[in-house]
Amino acid sequence: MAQKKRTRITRKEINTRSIVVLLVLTFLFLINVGSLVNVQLIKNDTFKTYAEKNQLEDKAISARRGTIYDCNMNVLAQSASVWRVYVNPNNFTLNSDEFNTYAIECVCQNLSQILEIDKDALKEKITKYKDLKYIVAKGKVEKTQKDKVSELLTTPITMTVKNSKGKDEEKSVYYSYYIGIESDIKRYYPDGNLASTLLGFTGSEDEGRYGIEFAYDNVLTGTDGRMIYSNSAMNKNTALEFESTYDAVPGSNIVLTIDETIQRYLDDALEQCYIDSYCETCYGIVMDVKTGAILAMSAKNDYDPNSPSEIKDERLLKNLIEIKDAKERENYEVEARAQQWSNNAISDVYEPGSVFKLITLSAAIEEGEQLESLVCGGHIQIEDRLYYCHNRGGCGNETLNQGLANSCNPYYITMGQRLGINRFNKYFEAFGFTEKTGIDLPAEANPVAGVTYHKFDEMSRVNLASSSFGQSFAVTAIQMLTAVNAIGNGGKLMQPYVVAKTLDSNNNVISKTTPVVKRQVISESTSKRVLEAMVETVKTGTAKNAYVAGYNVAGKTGTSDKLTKKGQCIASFAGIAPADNPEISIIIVVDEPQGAVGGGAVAAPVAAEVIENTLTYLNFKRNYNNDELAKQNIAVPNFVGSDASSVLSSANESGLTIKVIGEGKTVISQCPAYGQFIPQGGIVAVYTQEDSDKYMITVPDFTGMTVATATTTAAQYGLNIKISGNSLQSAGLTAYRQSIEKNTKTEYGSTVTVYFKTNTGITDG
Amino acid sequence: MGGYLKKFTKFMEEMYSRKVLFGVPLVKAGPKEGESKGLFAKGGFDIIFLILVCVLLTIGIIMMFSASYISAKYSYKTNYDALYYFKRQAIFAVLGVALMLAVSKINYNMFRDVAPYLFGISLILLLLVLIHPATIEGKDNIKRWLQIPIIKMNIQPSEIAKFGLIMFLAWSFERHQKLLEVYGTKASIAYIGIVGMFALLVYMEDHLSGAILMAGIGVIICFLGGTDWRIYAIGIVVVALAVIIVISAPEKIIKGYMAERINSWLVKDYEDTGSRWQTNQSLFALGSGGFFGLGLGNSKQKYLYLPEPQNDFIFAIVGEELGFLGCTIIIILFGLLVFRGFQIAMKSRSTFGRLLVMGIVTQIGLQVILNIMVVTDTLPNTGISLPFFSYGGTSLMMLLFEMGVVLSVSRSSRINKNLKA
Repeated sequence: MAQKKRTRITRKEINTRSIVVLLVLTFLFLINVGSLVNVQLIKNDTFKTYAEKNQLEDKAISARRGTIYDCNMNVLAQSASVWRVYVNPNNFTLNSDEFNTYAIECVCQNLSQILEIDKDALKEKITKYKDLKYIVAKGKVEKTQKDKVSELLTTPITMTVKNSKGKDEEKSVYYSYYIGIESDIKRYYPDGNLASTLLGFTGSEDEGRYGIEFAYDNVLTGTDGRMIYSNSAMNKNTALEFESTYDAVPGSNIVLTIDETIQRYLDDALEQCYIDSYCETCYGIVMDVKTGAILAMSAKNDYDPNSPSEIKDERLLKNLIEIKDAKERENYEVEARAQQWSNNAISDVYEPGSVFKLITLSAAIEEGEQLESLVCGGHIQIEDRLYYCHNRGGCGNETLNQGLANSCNPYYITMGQRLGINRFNKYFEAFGFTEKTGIDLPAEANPVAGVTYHKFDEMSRVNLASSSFGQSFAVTAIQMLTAVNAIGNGGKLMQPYVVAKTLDSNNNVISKTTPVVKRQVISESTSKRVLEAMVETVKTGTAKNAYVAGYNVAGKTGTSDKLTKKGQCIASFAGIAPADNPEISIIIVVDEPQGAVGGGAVAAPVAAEVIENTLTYLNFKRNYNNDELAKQNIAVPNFVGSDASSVLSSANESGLTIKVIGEGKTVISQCPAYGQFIPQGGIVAVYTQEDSDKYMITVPDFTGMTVATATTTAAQYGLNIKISGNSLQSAGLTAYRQSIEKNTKTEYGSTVTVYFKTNTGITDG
Repeated sequence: MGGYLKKFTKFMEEMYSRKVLFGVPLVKAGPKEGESKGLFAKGGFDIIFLILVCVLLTIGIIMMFSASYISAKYSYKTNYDALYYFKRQAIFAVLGVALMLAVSKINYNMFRDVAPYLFGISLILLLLVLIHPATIEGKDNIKRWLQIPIIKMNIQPSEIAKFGLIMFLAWSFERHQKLLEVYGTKASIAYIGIVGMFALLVYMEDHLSGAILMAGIGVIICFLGGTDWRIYAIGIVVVALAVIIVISAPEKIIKGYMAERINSWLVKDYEDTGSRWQTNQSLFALGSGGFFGLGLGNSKQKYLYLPEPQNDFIFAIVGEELGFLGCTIIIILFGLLVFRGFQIAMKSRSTFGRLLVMGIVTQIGLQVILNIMVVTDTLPNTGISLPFFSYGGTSLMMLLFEMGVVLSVSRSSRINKNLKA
């Protein structure tokens, strides 16, 4: 009975039990709330981070790479906006198979047509990466193609499909569901090959690969912006529903010390040298004497940074075609590319040869050695080694100036031996030959004791002998020039640099390079004395071909045998101009020239051309001596409007040769124009008739002519001749280049510049 | 043999006479004093309960719209119609509210006579679905639906069976009250057996969550109905042991994806993109919401991260948009609904009415609790929808029908002040 009572169901019993159930439910609800506290209030940061990581796709907006300017703010490298077209392969999996296949076909067909890409490759990529939401169809798309793609995006892909009830249904999906466009950036080098080895180029990721682009990559590279958008599983269009953008910060701009005009002079001269001398490579640097700033730097052969992998050089291409083995050809191609990309002026080491005598000389003068009377007997013996002078008969008793002008090896060996190993090395080190110059460019060759130069404690007297005239050790062109530059700069060794300023995107100056004086290597008076000897060398010695009328050029040539290749040599020239107030220093190095091989024959004329053009461009007044003055040009007077007969009579007074063309009485036009400079006794054509044709003549070939024959020939043809290069009083000058090519037509009275050089008396060590 | 036949004949006679069962007299059941006699109920229904239903329904539809908007917009299944789910849910809500009001007008005593039949129908449907399930496009492996011929509508027998079981138990605990008094523990075990049978049938559909829910509701009504309490004391211990064993080595005891889900629930790898994907996305949504939420409509996880955000995981989007604050308010509203339901029940005049209402609101309460437990990763991912919130036309109709039943009972409940007097 008791049991019955306990189980008897009353309303009260149910209600009591109800309260138990309510309590249990309440407890469970509280567990719910507790879980929410845990998830939403305690661990919420963790989950939020996960959520953001998942849902927010972080797409970089390419920051515009900084512009590279020359010192006059001419653009050398610039980034321009282009576009990138991408495909969302994942969206091809979201409809029926039949429709997806059709959509892939449509997308690939249209994109391959517009973007000129391989259709099958794109198809394969889309199928392969169907889990991804982003693959690039083509980068660096230009505006015309981009506009076509934009148009495509607004059209639908339409297909008749069976719906779930088996009925036909029109299904259409817009191209924009599968394809997208975003901005991209392309690097342009407006001057093509100009300064390419110095500038370098950028890779596919807009990253600097060589040269300035590489060395200053983090300055030029901006901070990429971010676009954060919902990385929804299905459609890029959801991005429109929530996204935020952080703008890209463009990279800093760089202003180089390079002057585009001087760079072009150097580039053109080296290019010509590369062709004429048939050398392996040739390179040169022009430096501002007082600051160490690089005004121009070039190496041939080079490349077009707009398409850096393309091999354009004819010689290399010819060699390439001749290689039959595919693997070998590929290797050669890789080497050829590496060669055209390399900046030989700082990366190549060579034996400086006689140019180095300037350093030995500086050391000896600074150390107070007696140098005005040293005897050369044609050869000199140091221990078991016999050194010859190029003048086998001996130079006799030589003064300091003569020693340098003759580039006499025995003279310098004697000098070196007098200095001794310690004192020689003191200057070797002081002039910076045991360290990198520290120029702000990548891949500067690193001097290594025992490899590129003699270890000081192991140096023998024989080593000293060959070192004193610049052989048995190797330097870079930039090292050599920096050392020579110190001679022009009152003995102060500068640290060379190419970047003058960095600017922000609004061209406000961020930083400015201040020239760094590394040390005083020699005294000012010593430097003056060496300069004087260098001037003499250009006037009368082995560097005659570097003579520029009116500009007092100081210089020294060098020719050194290549130890690695028998019978080949390196010709070089280093100089400073103008000598009385040094402004620029220059070095030209020609590796393995063929034919005429010496520094005087090959390198000096190149330097002369660059020096003349550069100093003219920099508005340096020419100071002619009397001889030069006699051959000075005169300005053409104005004849237009004058009576034809009076022109003829006045011409006799001025010494000009006048040719009247036409039947009229009054002069209507003239050639050369008023104010132009032509040689004394030059030719002027005057036209008296409105409709008369220009009087044209064919330009003769001047090469190989002496100054006298060239002058007469020019007069016969009716051309004004401008004589360029070399010391004017030098004998045996022959023409090697002319400004207007032979056999071309030109107007009567035009001026042709003819470049002369000598092949005698310029041989050095 | 003869003995069994005799017993069976006697049982059939008892059934036919409708007066005795197993020798125990039945309790006469019908409208109690103060209750309407006819088909329609008189008196006003409980306005507080109606308000709670309407508030929850409104919030539910708004949140369903917000949660489904994006997935509908970018799905070919909805033909890229952002309003697809909202429109359907809204139509069903309107129809459902009408149904609820209509049902509330019916005298709940009428349901008493329907109860045993509904029980039979439920059993038949549960068996039918095992034999001939209808498949739904995209959910080929799930066999929970039956297709009604001619109108080609898919129904979930388990939804009907839940209500059928509630009604049956309420009816039986009233009518067979004496049975329990005479047979005590034996009868109690028989009731639990019936509940177990229902749960087992649902489990055989591969519908674990449905089975758990079925068992939960059944067991609670059995407890409320006055079965031997010792069963529950033992039951809790048994279930606790079972849970410990399953958790310790899930793959050895249960099969396939369920074991995987339990494992992934135990390991809690937030980088997982496989079986935990949905749960992780749910936690990320809730976590992003923080205290105040991102604001209505500002969920980011609904941007196609959380699969089908309009269904079982809608509460995650609620949590992301309305934050802890909004979530708590919604839980309190559900709690109040359950509490008010119990108040109505406790003051109801008949055992049937009492247990019917308690069963219905307990079902809602359990569903909410289990759903939120899944969403917050307190339980492994099972698949229980959130009443008033989750998308689903028929289940919303069913739910509102049940609310109508509660309102109907409330008309004669003593909670109604007009009647109290």
